[in-house]
This record gives sequence, C-alpha cells and structure tokens, in this order.
Amino acid sequence: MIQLTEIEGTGVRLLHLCERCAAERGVETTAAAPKPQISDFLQSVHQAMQATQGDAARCAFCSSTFRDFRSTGRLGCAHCYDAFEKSMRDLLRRVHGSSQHIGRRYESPASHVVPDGGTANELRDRLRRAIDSEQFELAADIRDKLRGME
Amino acid sequence: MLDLSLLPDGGIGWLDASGEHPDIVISTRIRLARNIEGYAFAGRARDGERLRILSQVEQAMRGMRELHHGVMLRVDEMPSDDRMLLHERHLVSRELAGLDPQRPVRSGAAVYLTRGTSVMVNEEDHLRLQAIESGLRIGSAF
Repeated sequence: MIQLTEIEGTGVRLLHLCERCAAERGVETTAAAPKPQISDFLQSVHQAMQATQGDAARCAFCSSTFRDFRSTGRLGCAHCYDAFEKSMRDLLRRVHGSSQHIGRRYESPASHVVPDGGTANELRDRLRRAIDSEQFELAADIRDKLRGME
Repeated sequence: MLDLSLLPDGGIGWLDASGEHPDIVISTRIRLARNIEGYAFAGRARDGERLRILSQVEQAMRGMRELHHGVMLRVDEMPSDDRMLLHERHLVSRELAGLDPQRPVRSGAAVYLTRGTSVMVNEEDHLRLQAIESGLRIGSAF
C-alpha cells in the first residue's frame, strides 16, 4: 500500500493506493524498485568481510591497525601509507570518488602575468578563460589591457 | 609562574598593530608541519620515543646559528597555569598544552620560541613551525 499526500491550495488529501494505481498516477515508489538479488546480498557480505580483514591488518613499524586509523583519523607512522594502501585507496574512492587528484591544480604565479602583445581577440579569449577558472585578478588585468587597446 | 621575560617580545609582539591593514587583519599566522624519519608519528609514539625526538631536535637546533637567540621551553614540565598562558598568547596549541582533561600534556612536549617564530615539538606532528606577524604579512611570515 502506497500512501500519497496531495496538497491542493488550502486542502490536504490523503490517498491510499496499490502499486498499480500508483504507477498509473506516475508516483515513484520503492515498491517499483527491482527487488534485491541474492547475488547482491552475497556481494555486500563479501565486501563487509574484506573490510573487516582490512581493518585487522597491522603496520610492521608502529603496530597500528587500520581500525586505529578509523577510530582516530590519524596514521601511526610513514610506513602506514604502504601497509594500508589498499584500504586507504578504497576509502578515498568511497569518500571522494577517486584515489587520485582529479580536480584543479596549482599554477605558479608566473603563469598569471599577462604577456605583452597579443591581439584583442587573443586577449578576449584569455579573459574568458580567466573568468571561467575564477582567476578574477588576472581577468581584471586583461580587461584593463583590452580597454587600453580599444 | 612562567617568567615572561624569557619569552622573546613577551610572546605578544604580533599584537602591536605594526603590520599592514591592522584595522582589518589582526595577525598573519603560517604553520608548517614536518615529521622526522624513523619514528612513529607523535600521536602513536611512546614516551621514550617522544623524548628521543625532542633530544634530536634540540641537538639539531644547537647547530643552527639562526636559532641561538631563542629559548626552548619544556611544556611537559610546566604547571597548567603556565601552559594556559602560552596557549592564550597563541604560542602553543591547546593540544600541546594539554588543556583538555581527556588529553593531558604528553612527555616530550616542548616549544622553541624566538621573535615572531615558534617550533612546537611532539604536538600532532614531530615539528610544528609557526610564524606569526602583526597585520597582513603573508610573504614576511613565510
């Protein structure tokens, strides 16, 4: 049974629908979701077991475990990065979507200097790129340079 | 009670509003964390290990002429009032000072102080270098 609450103006209407009537009305329900397969259940159990085994792994230098890291948020020594690499990468993928940096990168200040010369079109192109990358100080310099040319 | 004359500029030179834009920016602080190879990180290290780390740091500092005008203070040997004083002047962190009842001060906790610069030993990392200056002075602090 699906319980649907409709609010129309000042009135509230409560409907109790079967799965078929809910589907006809276009109501998305968890009942419409595919029933979990036994293979999905076994996979989740296997992942949980692997996580438990990973938590018990111990660093040979400082004797800390990945469970210690989970509880304190800190690794025990420099060797822990190697000892727990697999577990750390799994954790990074779950939390950040990747175990490698895939976002913006630092650019050295020298690359922010507007080079002399360049046509107005080239400067407009650089201005657009600077704005898109939120480098507003650089964009202001390019804008001033464009004004001087026009 | 801690003798404040031991602290270079009383530990509050950054409050003199001598930096840029002091009406907006009270101070600029830069902290760098470093760890020494061959030891567990400070949070995991045992007491003896932390004392060996401190000894190694002191030995290295004696060999640096630039650091001869400062003072090394053993935070782990201070009463709580003195540790609180250092923390209030932003010279040590709350963690190094052991001000949290659940996390008391640990052995080997120390701080080296010179004008505008401090080095905490055995805090969250083996070394925590800190430069603090009045106003907006990022380049100078770094």
